[in-house]
Amino acid sequence: MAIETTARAIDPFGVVDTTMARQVYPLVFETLLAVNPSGGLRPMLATSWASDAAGWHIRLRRGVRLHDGSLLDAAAVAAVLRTRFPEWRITTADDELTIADGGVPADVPWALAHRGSVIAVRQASGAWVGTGPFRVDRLEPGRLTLAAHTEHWSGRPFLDAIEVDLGRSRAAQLADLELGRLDLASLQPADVRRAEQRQRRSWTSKPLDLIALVFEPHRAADGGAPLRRTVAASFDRRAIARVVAQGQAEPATAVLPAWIGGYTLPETSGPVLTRSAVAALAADQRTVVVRVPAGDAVSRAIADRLAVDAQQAGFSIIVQVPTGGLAPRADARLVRVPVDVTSPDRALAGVIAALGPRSQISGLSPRPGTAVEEVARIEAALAERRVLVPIVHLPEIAASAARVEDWAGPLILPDGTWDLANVWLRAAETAPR
Amino acid sequence: MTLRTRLALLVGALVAITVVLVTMTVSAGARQSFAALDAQRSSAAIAQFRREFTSEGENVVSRIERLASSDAVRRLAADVDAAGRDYAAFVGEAGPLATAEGLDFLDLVAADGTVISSAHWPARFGVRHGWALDAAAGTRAAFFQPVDVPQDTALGLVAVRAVQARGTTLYVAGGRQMNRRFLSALTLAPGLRAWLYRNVQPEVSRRWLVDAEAIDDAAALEPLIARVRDTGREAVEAVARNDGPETVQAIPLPGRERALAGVLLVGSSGREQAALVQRIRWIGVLFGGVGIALGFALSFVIAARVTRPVEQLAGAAREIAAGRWDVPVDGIRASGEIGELATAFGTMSRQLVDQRERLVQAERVAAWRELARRLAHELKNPLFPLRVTLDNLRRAKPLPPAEFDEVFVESVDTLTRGIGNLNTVIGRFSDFAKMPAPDVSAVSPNALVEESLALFRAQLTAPGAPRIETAVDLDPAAGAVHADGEQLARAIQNLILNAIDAMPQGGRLSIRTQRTGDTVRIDVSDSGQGLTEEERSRLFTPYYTTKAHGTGLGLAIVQSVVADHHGKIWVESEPGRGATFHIELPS
Repeated sequence: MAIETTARAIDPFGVVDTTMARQVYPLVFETLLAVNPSGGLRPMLATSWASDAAGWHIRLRRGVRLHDGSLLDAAAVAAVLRTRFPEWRITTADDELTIADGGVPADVPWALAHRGSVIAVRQASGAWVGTGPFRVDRLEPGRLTLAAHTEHWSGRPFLDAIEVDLGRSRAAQLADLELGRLDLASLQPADVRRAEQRQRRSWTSKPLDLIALVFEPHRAADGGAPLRRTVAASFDRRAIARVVAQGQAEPATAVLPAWIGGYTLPETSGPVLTRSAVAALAADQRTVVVRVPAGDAVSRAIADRLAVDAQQAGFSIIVQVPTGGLAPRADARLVRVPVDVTSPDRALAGVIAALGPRSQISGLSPRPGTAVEEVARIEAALAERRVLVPIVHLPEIAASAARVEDWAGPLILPDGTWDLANVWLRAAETAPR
Repeated sequence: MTLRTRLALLVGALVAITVVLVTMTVSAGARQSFAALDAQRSSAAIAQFRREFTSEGENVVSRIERLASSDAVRRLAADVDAAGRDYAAFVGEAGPLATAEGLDFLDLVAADGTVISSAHWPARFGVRHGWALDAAAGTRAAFFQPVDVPQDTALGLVAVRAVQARGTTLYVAGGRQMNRRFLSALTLAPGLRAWLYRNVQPEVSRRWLVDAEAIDDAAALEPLIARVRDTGREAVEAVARNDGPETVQAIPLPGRERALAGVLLVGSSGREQAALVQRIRWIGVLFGGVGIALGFALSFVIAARVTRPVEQLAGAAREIAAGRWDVPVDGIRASGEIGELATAFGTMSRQLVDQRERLVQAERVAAWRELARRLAHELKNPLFPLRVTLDNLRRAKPLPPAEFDEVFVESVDTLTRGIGNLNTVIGRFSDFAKMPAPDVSAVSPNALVEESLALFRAQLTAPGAPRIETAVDLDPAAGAVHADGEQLARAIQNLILNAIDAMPQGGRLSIRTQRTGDTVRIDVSDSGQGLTEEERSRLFTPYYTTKAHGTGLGLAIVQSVVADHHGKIWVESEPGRGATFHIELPS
């Protein structure tokens, strides 16, 4: 397989990019709980969780061994969690953890299911070891080699090893996949049809990444409201999801995908709405500069479509790709923000935090434990301000070679993580070339 | 201004005018030739563009037809038909097809006019195509068409073909972009430039020129473009540039149904032409300058050759006029009329010299005769009493001694007086002959006049003398003259004495001095009976006199003194109206 990121170290608690977090670390490190396809929680290293007046009682799975062969005990898990959540009071008894935070923190299970809450132990050599189905065998420039963790708590994986080519673009991965150099590749939405036409199997997660327009501070003030209203009403989310993303994306009226947030917001675009909004625009506001991230083909294609829709509506959107030189000040930027698969409050707070203070919406970030109804109200307020304008939610997409077989469940889980523990390869002589 | 200078300037001016006229003629001729050449170049370039447009259009039609008839597009049309109105799966189809056929633009358009896929603007799916359906129903040839591209509108040479599927029609609309690359592919003669204008807005704007930002002073082209848009016809205009005028020809590029889609502008820079004309002009000026300089030099040489004999003749004439009659004229070398003139002048001067010598000889003889006559006359009078006395003395010999002694004494006295008279006469002649050279010093003419007049006061006021009034008018500004005071005083005295003699019955003696420029004039006037014409002409001849007892040397001495002082003397007189002698002396 290959990934776009160029990893220089394996550190689950360092700065982790989305690709590593979804495609590599789930193979090496595991959390106590995980999110299931329905948006609920499922056991991983913990087998049960319950709360009472004393706090949350987490029962650990017995016999779990780390990659160095040592048994994972409650003390080690507590030590990891204390580092991650210093505000928690954690006590251990046999194979059970009791977690309290003054009162009873409501979202402890969701916090434990977050991908930042992996259970990893640092060895004397400085390397991190986890409990996942694969262990890090070798990390060298351009390639990461994972070996099967034979003592994995759910059984030995089918694959003996996984070689991960680092720093390969998605287009290059597709080409390598077609040439038989790769068994697994990440895909752009527009490439799914092509891969399938070439007898490759595609795998898709639930919608995860938010593609949205974020207006810059000088347009985020009240004076920019007509412009924001015009832009927000001008484009057709369904067309973008259906054509640009080739049906792989989901139109986004809210920041969180419906399967995470549990709610949707009404569509706020349409030709009549756009015409009235454009008519209200001053002449010098009828050209909007939108900056898109360099190297992201999907974002670029979506921005181009926004420009077409704007032209049809009667104003102009200039797509600006950063080139390192001087460029006109952008009015808005097109962002791609991964949404954490966790509770709605944490997911929305994560997105707002990822956008940073420039987005002028930091004050709307929900506190941990905020009820989903309140999260929905915050989303409605965000939609009303139109500083952050969701466009689509994109899934994680992968394609596999014909010899890749799955034993139980999909290759990509709903939360976007790659599950290669259940994958095996058909014999070489039977593999189509 | 001398004859030589005038002649040289005249010839030089003629040469200069000729050179300037030749230079201007050559310059104008060169400009016209370059303009004609320039027009030919522009026409050739436009013809080349037309051929290229035709060729490119055929090429586009060929490619579009090849695409429309290809299996891939036919299959695509069938798939589109099968897909109903969901065209999402085909959004990326146009790109590879355009690449395969080398097309800059390619749109796949559904039967309802919706863009299914766009190669040049992939995001432009689902919108209504502006011209594909109309064009497919009309022309089969390629035509110019403004084409929407991301953030701009390009000018394309496009064609459309319809592909029939089972239940629907797929339109293939595409072509090539008319851009800087297309213009650059054409080989233009040096000095020619070409631009393309995209006629996409109701107003003319330089921003719709292809690569407008790279065009200097694009605004200058706007009026020409507006003219073509208004008339739909070709237009030509000279556009002023920093480096010289540029002739720009604008050709309308017809779009669908003859609508103006764009304008081709071919500019022929006047820079090279202006530089060549300028170079020719400078060469002309250089050669003209050299020619003028040479012309002037030659004209001076020629004028010198032509005028030298004339100048020599003029010089000789001046010498002769100044009294130097022996100036040689045989050395003047000339031919033609000037030579004849020189020969005639030489002959004339020699004849003048001969005549002068003969005249001098004659005058000398006449003078000697006059001198002899006057001498004889002057001596004859004193000698007569001497002979009578001697006869008386001879006759008294026989007389008694006492009587003889008385006669003797009386005769001796008479002889003594007579001899004294002879001495006086001889002394006067001797004085005239011995006129010395003037001893020059600064003397006041006013003082000399007053001193001279004072000598005659007693004579004028003596009892029994005729009554003569004197009037003296002396100019205080007369100043001084460089003269021999004694000789000049004697001349003034002679004139005063001459005036007194002219008025035996009395009259008026006027003496006046006056400064005029660099000269001082002394005028002595009498109110006597005046002079006749003949008397005036001979007045200064030595020994000529109108008086009974004059020697005729007085006025001759005056003239001699004035001449020795480089002055001038003349007389104005009419019979019965007195006479005025004028002496003019340089100061």
